[in-house]
Amino acid sequence: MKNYFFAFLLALLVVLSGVSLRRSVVGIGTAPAPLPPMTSVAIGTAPAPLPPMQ
Amino acid sequence: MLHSGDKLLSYGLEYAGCGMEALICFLLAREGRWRHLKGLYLYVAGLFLLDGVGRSAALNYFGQRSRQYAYFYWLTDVLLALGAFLLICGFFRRASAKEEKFWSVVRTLLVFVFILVVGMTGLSLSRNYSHLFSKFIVEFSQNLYFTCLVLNTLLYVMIQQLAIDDEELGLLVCGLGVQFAGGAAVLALYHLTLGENFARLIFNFFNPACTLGMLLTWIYAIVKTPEPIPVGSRSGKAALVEAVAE
Repeated sequence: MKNYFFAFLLALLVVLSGVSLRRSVVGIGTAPAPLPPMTSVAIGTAPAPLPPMQ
Repeated sequence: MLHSGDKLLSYGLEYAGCGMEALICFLLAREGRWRHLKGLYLYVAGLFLLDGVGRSAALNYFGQRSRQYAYFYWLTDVLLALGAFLLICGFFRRASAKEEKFWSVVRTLLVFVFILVVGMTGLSLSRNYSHLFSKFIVEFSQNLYFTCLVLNTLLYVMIQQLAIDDEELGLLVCGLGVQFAGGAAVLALYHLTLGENFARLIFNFFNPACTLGMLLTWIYAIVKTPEPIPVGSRSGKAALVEAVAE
């Protein structure tokens, strides 16, 4: 039970770190985000299109 | 808008990536080395099929600005991010192979991480029901991407702290680090740079370059590190006898 709680806390820390990192990286800089926003990273070498519905 | 020189570079990166993915599959298939690196083999084969073949075909058929290509690209990105997550889980398993108790905690941690990423993505979209599917796949792949970045960093620190003597694993984890940390750095650079067009070019070329960096590191890891010989096999016994004789 103690191990589950520890694992859950660590998982929460990992996910919150990941999401915060994403938000902070996307939000760096004082200039307004240009349109269309390029706020996504992807895996692969094919040319990246804009995410749908943005 | 990309100029002809930029287009040439973009095509070059795309085909170089495709070639490297095929080369890794060939190197692993040769001499049956894929049995030792099943997870990596499956991931690179998936990368080759989805990114090298599927995306190129969709790009040529529909065009880069089409909605179909955008959907196909981001849907395959979810699959690749999921594959990367499973690959990291496999690396965690390999790193903690000798310590079963430690692995049981890590396994629980990885299950919780996945549930939390799905839950947080769902929560962030709970008040926005328009285009739910498309927003969910992009949001989920991005959250999973950055979670993989944190997990991969943790794995690297774990390998260093536990002094795990596995050079191949270290190089494979470094390769994943190039992909994840490189992408995050490029995104930060994009937002820090004021020249929008210049930054967009950086973004367009650096992101594929990060994937190329990952593939190059993996090729180096496969070529440089020798295949471990099972002690029970005939060649393994011969090697053991030779080592004892020396």
